[in-house]
Amino acid sequence: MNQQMQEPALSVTNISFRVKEATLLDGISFDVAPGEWISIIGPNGAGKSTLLRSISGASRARGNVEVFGEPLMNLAPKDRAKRVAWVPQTPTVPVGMSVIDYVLLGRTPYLHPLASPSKRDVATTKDILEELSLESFARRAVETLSGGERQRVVIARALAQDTPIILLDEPTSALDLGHQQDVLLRLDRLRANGERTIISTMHDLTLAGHFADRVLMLSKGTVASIGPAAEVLTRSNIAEHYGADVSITNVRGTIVISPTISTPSSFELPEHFNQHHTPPAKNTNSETESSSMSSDATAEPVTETPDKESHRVAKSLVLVNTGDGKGKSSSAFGMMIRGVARDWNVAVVQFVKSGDWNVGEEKVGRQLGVDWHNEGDGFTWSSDDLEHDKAIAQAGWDNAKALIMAGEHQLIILDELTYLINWGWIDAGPVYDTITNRPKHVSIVVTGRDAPQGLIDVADTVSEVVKVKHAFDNGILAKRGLDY
Amino acid sequence: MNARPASIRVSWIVGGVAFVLGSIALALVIGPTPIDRSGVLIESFDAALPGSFDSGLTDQQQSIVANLRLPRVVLGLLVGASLSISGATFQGVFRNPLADPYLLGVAAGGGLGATIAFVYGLGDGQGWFDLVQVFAFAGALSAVFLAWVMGNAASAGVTELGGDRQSSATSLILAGVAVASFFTAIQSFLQQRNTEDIRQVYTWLLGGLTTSGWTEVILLLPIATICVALLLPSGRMLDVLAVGDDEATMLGMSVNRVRLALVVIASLLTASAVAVSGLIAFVGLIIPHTVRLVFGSSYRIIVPMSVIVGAGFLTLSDLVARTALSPSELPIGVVTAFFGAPFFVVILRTAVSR
Repeated sequence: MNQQMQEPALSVTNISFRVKEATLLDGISFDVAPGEWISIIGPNGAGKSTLLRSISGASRARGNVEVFGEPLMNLAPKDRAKRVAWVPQTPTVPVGMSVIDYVLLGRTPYLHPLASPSKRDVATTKDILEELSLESFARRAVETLSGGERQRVVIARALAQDTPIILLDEPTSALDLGHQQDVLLRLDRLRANGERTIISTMHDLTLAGHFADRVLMLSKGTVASIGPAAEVLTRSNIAEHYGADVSITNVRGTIVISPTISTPSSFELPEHFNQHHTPPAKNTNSETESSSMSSDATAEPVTETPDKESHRVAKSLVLVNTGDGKGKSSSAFGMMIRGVARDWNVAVVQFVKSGDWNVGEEKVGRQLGVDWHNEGDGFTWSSDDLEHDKAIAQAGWDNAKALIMAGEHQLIILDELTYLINWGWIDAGPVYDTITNRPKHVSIVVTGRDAPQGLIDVADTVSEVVKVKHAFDNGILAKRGLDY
Repeated sequence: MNARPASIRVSWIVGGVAFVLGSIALALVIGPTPIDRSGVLIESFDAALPGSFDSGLTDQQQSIVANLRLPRVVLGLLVGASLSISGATFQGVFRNPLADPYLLGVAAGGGLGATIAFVYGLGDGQGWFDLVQVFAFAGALSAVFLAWVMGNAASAGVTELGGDRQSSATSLILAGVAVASFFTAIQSFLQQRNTEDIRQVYTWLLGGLTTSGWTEVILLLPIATICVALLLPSGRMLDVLAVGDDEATMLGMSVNRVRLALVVIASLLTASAVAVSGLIAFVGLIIPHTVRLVFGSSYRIIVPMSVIVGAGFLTLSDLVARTALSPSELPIGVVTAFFGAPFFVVILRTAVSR
C-alpha cells in the first residue's frame, strides 16, 4: 500500500467536538487514501456518529477536514455536497416521494435553487438506479420499500451526488444478514475503480473488519487503534474498550469475532458425573434381562463404584421413563438441560398436549436453543374425533421418525409417545425399528405411562416412577410451575 | 426504464384553467341584479380591452359588471391563489401538512392591526391606503418578524447545546404560537374595551371580498404577482427540505437561507392578502392538502396546482357568500370552512382508500 505516497482523499486533523462540559471527540486525526474503505468502530457512546457528522459538516466541530487538500469546513453547503455524500443511519423519508424523485435529490448541489432538474440529471439518476438494481422500484414510494431496498435507495441518492467521498452511518444496522451482505458487497464494488472512498461506522466487528481496508477503533472520543483488521480487532483491544470477552478466529483471512458465553459446558464437572455417563454393565444386555419393569435400578448407579473395565462406552442410549407417578416428563426435561450443557443439539417432540395449557418448559427450551416440535397441537386430552386424532398422531410420529433418522441431534425426547402406541393410533413395530436403527449418535428418551414391552426391549435404561401419593387424588388441581 | 420524476401534467393545467374560467363565468353572471348572461361576459371582455366589444348592456348594467362584479372576481382569484401558494410553502418549509399561512402569527398580527385602526376610528377598510389595511399589513408582518427573531434566538441556544438543526423549525413554530397568543390577547382586550366597534372588527376578522372598485385589486396585484412568481419555482427546494434540515444541508442546500427567503415571501404575500380581504380561514390549509391528495405529494406539483385550484375555489366560495342569503352577505370565511371541510373529508377518504 502506498498510502503515504499519494495525496489522501480525506484528511482529518485534530477534530474535537464539545457539548457544554462533555468532550465527545478529542483530537481525532487520520488520513484515508483514494479508493480506501475505512470502518469506524467503537462501543456505544464512543463518538462514531459524531465523528461522521463532524466530517460531513452536519455537526460543527473544531479541527480540519480536507478533501484532496481542500478544507471542507469553509465551503458552502453546495460545494461541500459535491465532495462528500452522507448516508444517515435513519434517513427521513418524505411520505409519498417516489424512488426516482428521492434519488434525484442527490443532484441538488448541481442545480440552481430555482431551477428544475435537467435531462442530464434525470439520466444520471436513472443510471444509478440501474447500477443498484432499483429500476423496478423507480415509481414506488420510498416508504413502501423493505429495509434492504430502502437502504439501497439512500445509497443511490448519495451516489447521485457524484462525490469522491461517501460517508455511511451504520449502513447495515437495520438489515438482516442477507441484505447486510448485499449492501456491503455493492458498496465494495462501487469503490472498485478507486474513484470513491468510503468511510463507514459499523456495529458488527466481523463485517467491519471483513469489508474495510482499515479499521479505526474509537473509544471515549479518541482513536484507540487504527490499522488493518487483524491489528485492531484483538482480544485485548476489545476487552479494554468494549468490556467484552470474545474469541477471535481467522477464517481464510477474515477476522471472526464471537462472544465467549459462559455455558455450563465449560465448567469443570465432578469426577463421578462423568462416570455416571458410562452405562453400567447390566444395561448392555438388557434385551435379555429386563423383562420386568423393575429395571429402574439402573437409575441409581451413582452410589455404586462401577468396575470400569467391565463396561463399554455406548455412543448413545435409549431411555424410557414410565410409571403412574409424577415426574416422567420432568425428568426428561432435566436430561434436556444436561444435553444443552454438553453443547448437544437437543430436540423435544411433544405428542400430547392440552390446548389450553400454557406449558413453561417449551418457552425455556426454546430459549436454550432446543429444537421444539408440538406434534400434539391438533389433538388433546379432551378430543372427540378419533379418526382425526389418529391421522394427526401418525403424521406426528412420521415427523419424529424423520427427525431421528436425520441424525442432526444428539438427544431427542419423545414426550408422551407411549400413549400413541397404547391407544393403537400408530403401529408399534415401526417405532421399535426406528429406535433400533437410529443413527449411532442419537440418544432417545421416551416418556409416558404403561411403556409397552417392545419399547422396554429396545431401551437401554427404563425407569418407572411409582405413585405413592398424588395431590390430585386429594382434590388439588395441577399447579403451574410444578405440573406444567 | 420509463419512470419519470414527478412533474405537473399539461392535462392538469388545462383542466385547472377550465375550472377557474368556469368559476369566473359563474361568479360574473350570477348576482342580485339580473343582467343578460352573454352581455355580462362580453362586457367583461370589453372591460379588459376597452372599446373592443359592444355588450348591449345599459350604462348601469355596464357599471355593475365593470366596477362591482369583475373586480370582486379578480380579487377572489388573487387572494385565493395567494393564500393557497403561501399555505403550500409553509407546509413545505415546516414539513408539516397542518401548517397554514397564518402559522407564524400573520392572522393575529393582522387582526390586531385592523382592530387598532377600527377602535381608534382610523378607517373603514375601504379605499386607497385605508389605515385599516395599512395597520393590518404592518401588524401581520411584525408578528412574523417577532416570531422569527424569537424562534431563532431559542433555536440558537438549542444548537449551541448540541441539538440538531431540526429544532429551529420547531422553535419557529412555537414562537409563532406564542406571538399569536400575545397579539390575540391584546386584540381581545381592545375589542372588550370598545364594544361599539365589535361588529366591524368581527366582520373583518371573518374575511370578505367586499371591494371599492378596483382599489384592492390594484393594491394586491403587483405584490401578489412578484411573490407568486418567486414561489412558483420553489417546489423543488421544498422537496429537498422534506428530508429534514440535516440531510438537506448535506445535499447542498443552505437551509436557513432558503427557509428565511421562503418565509419572508410567503408572509409578505399573506399579509397583503389579509390586508385587503381580512382573515379568510381554511383556504391556505386545505387547498395545498387537497392538491397533494389528488395530484401527488411532490411540491413541484403542489405549489403550482395550489395557485390554480385556490383561485377557482375562492371565487366559487365568494359566489356562495354573496348569493346564499342575498341580499345580505355571508362572511366568506364561513363559506370556505362550511363547504371546504366536508369536501376535504371526502378527498381524504378517497385518497386513503386508494
